[in-house]
Amino acid sequence: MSDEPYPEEILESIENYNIDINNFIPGHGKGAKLLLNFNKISGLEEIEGVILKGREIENGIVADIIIKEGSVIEDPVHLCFGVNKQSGIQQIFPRIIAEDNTEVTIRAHCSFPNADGLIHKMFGHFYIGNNCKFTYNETHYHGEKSGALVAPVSYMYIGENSIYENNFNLTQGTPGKVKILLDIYAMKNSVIRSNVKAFGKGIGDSIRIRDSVFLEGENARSVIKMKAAAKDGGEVLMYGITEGNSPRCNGHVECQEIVLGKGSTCRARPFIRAIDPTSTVSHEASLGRFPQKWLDELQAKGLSEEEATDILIEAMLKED
Amino acid sequence: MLLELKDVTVPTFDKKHIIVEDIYFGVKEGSIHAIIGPNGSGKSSLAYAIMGLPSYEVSKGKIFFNGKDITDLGVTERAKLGITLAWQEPARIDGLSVLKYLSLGMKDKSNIKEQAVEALKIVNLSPDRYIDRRIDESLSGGERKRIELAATIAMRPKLVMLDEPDSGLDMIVIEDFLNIFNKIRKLDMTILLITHREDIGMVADYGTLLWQGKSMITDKFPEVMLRFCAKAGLKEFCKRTLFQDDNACFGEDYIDRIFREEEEGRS
Amino acid sequence: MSEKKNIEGKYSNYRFNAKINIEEIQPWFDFDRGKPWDEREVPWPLENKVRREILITLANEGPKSFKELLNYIRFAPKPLLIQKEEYEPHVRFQWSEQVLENHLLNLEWYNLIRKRDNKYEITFPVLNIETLNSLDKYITLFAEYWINIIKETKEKVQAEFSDINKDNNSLYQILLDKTVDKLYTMLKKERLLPQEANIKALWAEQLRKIKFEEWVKDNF
Repeated sequence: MSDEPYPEEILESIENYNIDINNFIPGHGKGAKLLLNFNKISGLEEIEGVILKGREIENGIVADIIIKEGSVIEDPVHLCFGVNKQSGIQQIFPRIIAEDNTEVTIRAHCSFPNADGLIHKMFGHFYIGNNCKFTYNETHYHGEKSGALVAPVSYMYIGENSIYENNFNLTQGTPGKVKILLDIYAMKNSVIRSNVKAFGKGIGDSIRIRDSVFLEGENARSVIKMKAAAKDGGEVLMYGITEGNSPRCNGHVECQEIVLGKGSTCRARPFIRAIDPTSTVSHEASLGRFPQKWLDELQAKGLSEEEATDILIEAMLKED
Repeated sequence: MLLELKDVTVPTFDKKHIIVEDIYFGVKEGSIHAIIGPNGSGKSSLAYAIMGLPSYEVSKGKIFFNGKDITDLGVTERAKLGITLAWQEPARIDGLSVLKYLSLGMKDKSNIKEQAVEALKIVNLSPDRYIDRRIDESLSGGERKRIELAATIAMRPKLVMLDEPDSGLDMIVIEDFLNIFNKIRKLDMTILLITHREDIGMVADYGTLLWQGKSMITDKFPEVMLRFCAKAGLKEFCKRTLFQDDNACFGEDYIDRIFREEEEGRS
Repeated sequence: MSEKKNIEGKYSNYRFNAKINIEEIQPWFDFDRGKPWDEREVPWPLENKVRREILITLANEGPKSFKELLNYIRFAPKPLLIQKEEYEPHVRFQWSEQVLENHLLNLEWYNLIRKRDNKYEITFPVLNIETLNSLDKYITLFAEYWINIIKETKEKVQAEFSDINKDNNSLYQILLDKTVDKLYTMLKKERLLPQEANIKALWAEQLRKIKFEEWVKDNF
């Protein structure tokens, strides 16, 4: 583990999301913590019910996080994966196992404040047991130069009767090139809520997100909501897959993408499939402008179209 | 007159049909002026045209506000001059808080919260319960309409158009809304009330009757309502509403005469 | 199951021309090498890991009955670093009969598996490392012949098509693509390939033997 203090620059961006930095700093705040600066573990704190183990590798970390059976973890587990440098490659391999009958919130922040040619890859597995309540809140900050290349891949398996909520937010700073893959397998009676928000602000920004839910157990339910805006040449592609593979499952995907400025591109690829005759899957997508009625309503209060659009984008991408 | 429409014609967006034609009336400053007419007569479309919405452009005629020709002005400019519209079905916008929504049209941004609290009280919503809420699906129709009214009040416009404020509300709530209109009037705002319900229109001082896209009469509200009832054949309703022993607007003979004239005109 | 007829026409190349990796290896999709998920190379039934596991099981273990497959489509995850002696988590995922049946019907519909003698088997060839190594000499041989003829004709081709070869990049890619198409046509005439509208085949390759967990074990 590194003895050097954790770079403030990495943590500062957390405040852009209205999150209290203190809880991320080792020795401060509450909750279990794991902090990584490039390939150095700068902080690791366990609490009752949470086992954290990390191993530094050449350019990143392998980590286990286990929530012990029956534990109700009141304070969020804080993870911060940051790189202070401009360039390089960071690879993260987390494996999270939440045993049966657990409740936990994980708050993860990935921060690359000086990114200019930096590559971050993550390959994570989440295994959530039965009767769990698991919330995963992830925020990202990639600096202001569109200089990051970020590719997280996560496979998640959600056990019977469990509730899984995923909130991913990439709305501060300039994203750079981002490719996110999230595959969720939902077992019997589980409930999945996935909310993804992203903002591509310029020509150097390309955000491609594949958020898939495979409903593999009877009565499994899911709602995926993806909201994004592409501005001034930015690109957003939302790829939402929902498969109804089990009896009486119910899944819904919503994509809302706003295009602003010249050269911006928004694409939505909804793939909804059902191979069980009693399943229900649905999809909604709207791309382009906000509904004219919304703009009319705000303009009737004295706002210009641009001001009205800014307000609506801020509202759309706001942290819930 | 605060607002004047002179021979205003509004076609559909594709210009294939006429929604309202040769509309001619004026709205006195400080009054409550009702636009009444049956469903499909073009009342809401007329309000949208006055507001300057892109799909309701005036193809003929002029609109004047405070003596200024606003026919070619856009929505934002008209709002800045002091015109606003409270929608029949206001949008629900995820992520927008009530406080933020109320503040959008405020001229003085130095004490947003105080102004928002005052506006919420006028529409009988508890500020503590509503100021931090989102204007999303969790609000009932009635709550959303009140917030819409509060937002228009917070703007302190010169003219507020209320598009069917009674739609979707039950009788108890409607009574409450009628009281709110009177409070709005006391804030020196002129109200243009769009309604197809005659009992709602009774709060108005003046009215204009729209019938099949044309303005038939503009006068004191009871006279306009009498004409509407005559056209619609609502004699009993008319007598019940306008001829009430101590508060009769007209004598029964007068009502009968107007209905006879209308029937003769039709035949 | 009855054979589907191939219909001549604009969309007759519907059948897959993808490879399936039967060992799970690369954890993400390299920007410079792998096939990106957003370019839709993978046929959609294979986007689901359960269906991929079914194919991998049948490829590795041979034909299996429904009950046997049910025992394979389950797993209990283990941590990467934490040893059994430190802590052993107990989480288990098991797929139900109804859901497995749905997946199998889906794979059958796309002709990726078939049922024979009450057992399921994959319908396409699986090339293991030894086969791939044996094939390699022919692949190299064919390529070397092509390289020779390309070198011999290089100057003539460049002189004749200088206007579409300005960046020294596009021309040979176009030529090679078109050559493959021509090759298929000529091979059919020689009866080395069947006379079918859609000739591209599906196959699976065993690419690498090391699984991710083994990589972690070896490195830590």
